[in-house]
Amino acid sequence: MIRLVGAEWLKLRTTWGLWIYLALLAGVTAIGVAGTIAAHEGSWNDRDLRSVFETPGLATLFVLLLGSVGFTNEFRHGTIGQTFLVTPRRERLLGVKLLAFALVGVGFGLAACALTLAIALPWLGAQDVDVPLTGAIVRDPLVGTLVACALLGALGAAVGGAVRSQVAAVVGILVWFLLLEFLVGALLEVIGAGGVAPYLPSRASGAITGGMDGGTDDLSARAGALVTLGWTALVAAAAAISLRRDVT
Amino acid sequence: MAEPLIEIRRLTKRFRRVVAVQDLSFSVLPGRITGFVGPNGAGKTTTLRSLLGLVAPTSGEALVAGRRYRNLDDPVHRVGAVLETATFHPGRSGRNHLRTVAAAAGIPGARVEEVLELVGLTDAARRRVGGYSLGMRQRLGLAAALLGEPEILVLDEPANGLDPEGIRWLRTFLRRLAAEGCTVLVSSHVLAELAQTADDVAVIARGRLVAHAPVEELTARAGAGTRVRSPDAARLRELLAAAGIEATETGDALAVQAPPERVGEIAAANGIVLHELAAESSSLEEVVLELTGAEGEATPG
Repeated sequence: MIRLVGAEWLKLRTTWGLWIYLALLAGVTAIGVAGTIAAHEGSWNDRDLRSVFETPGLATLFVLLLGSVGFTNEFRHGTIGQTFLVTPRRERLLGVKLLAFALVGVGFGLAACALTLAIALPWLGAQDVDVPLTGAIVRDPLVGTLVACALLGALGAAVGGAVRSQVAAVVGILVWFLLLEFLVGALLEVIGAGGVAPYLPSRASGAITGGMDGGTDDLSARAGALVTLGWTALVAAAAAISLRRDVT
Repeated sequence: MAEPLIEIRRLTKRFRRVVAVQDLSFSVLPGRITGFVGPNGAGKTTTLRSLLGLVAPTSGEALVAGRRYRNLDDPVHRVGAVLETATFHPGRSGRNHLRTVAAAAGIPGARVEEVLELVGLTDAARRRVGGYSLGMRQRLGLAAALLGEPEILVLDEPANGLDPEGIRWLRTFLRRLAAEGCTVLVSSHVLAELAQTADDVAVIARGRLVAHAPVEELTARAGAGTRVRSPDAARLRELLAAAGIEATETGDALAVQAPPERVGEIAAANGIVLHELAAESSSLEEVVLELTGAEGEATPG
């Protein structure tokens, strides 16, 4: 299993995709952190400070896309045949992909967190702002980012395995996470089932990093993680069925 | 007789309404090169993919060393496979492609360099596969198949896209592997590509087996095809007839149903002058056409 996860990591780092995603994430995180601090006026309260350290939560969308692109690359370029020759038990390969992209997700999360700390701490220090590293302001959102990145990396891979088409997977993820879930949430509100909305994947995973949307009825970080894990398991089950198809 | 290393047993595969393979059975004995021949669309790729666990048979089974591929403990070390028009991530270098396969199979990096050398890709190993020619891709696919030093090789149309020199290289290469004890199942839509390489030939048409025999037997069935010209044609014809060999006049030459070696020997033993002695290279192809054509007519649709 470790061997196969290592091979997945080798596959990822021997193509440009990974490094482009990482560079984009670094750019977006740096701009996000710098922008938040630079645009801030007046004194810093706890909530303002926390919003700075929620910035690396952006990494979740990157690892979600990376997971789906990483897996669907195998279908797009036809390498899935070779991969199945080496690992003919398909459920096993799915497990390897989920684990590999969860770990890569953690790596991306760590990178985003480190960059955020590297920019924010000296900058805020120069403004004589006292930042408590432990507790709700820094520790919680950063730990939440790592957990969310692990789960969404795996979820992305699961979506890729279930959908198999790269375009469909990427478009599907973007449309759902950036648009459709809000519409569905609104619809649920209309039919009087608004209580369900926080359990949808984007809201639930967002709650892990502390809910940047700040919705008052959001789940707790812990519950958000559990619900996201549930979504990942569900999509992974769909992927297990989808992967049984013939490779022609 | 030795246990077959590859066994196709009553294999049938339907894709929705299309029957790709129908009740196909044949086996491959250890240490032999078996050619798997048939026109495009005959079901060769489907058969090989069933064997490799990529396609689930509708009924019947395809076994490697007595087991289904997915139940092999360490498939890469037992079976090396090159899929039709081998596909790679275009952005990865040839060496890195092999490294990913080796890493997954627990094969040390030194072996990657060995197989690169073996297929003659060492100089191109750092280049991205996207820039490889079709022939180079076939070699890279072959290199990947050889990584685990398997005892069985399954190759789907490996000669596709190779130039004549490449085909000659492949032939020599397969012969050497077979000499080292490797068992090879290799498909092609052109029998001529395999006639000098294969020990046995399985011929498939419209998803059904139409012949499975040693190459010599097929050659014999082809009537050996020798074209011979002699100023003493009438006498040669009598001598051949006495040896039980049929010969018919075609213009100023004789079409003889025996290999050129045999005809030459008979002529020499009787002091007959020959002006031309040539093997009819198309004869094997004609047998296959005849076999596959007949089957084609027998199967409606």
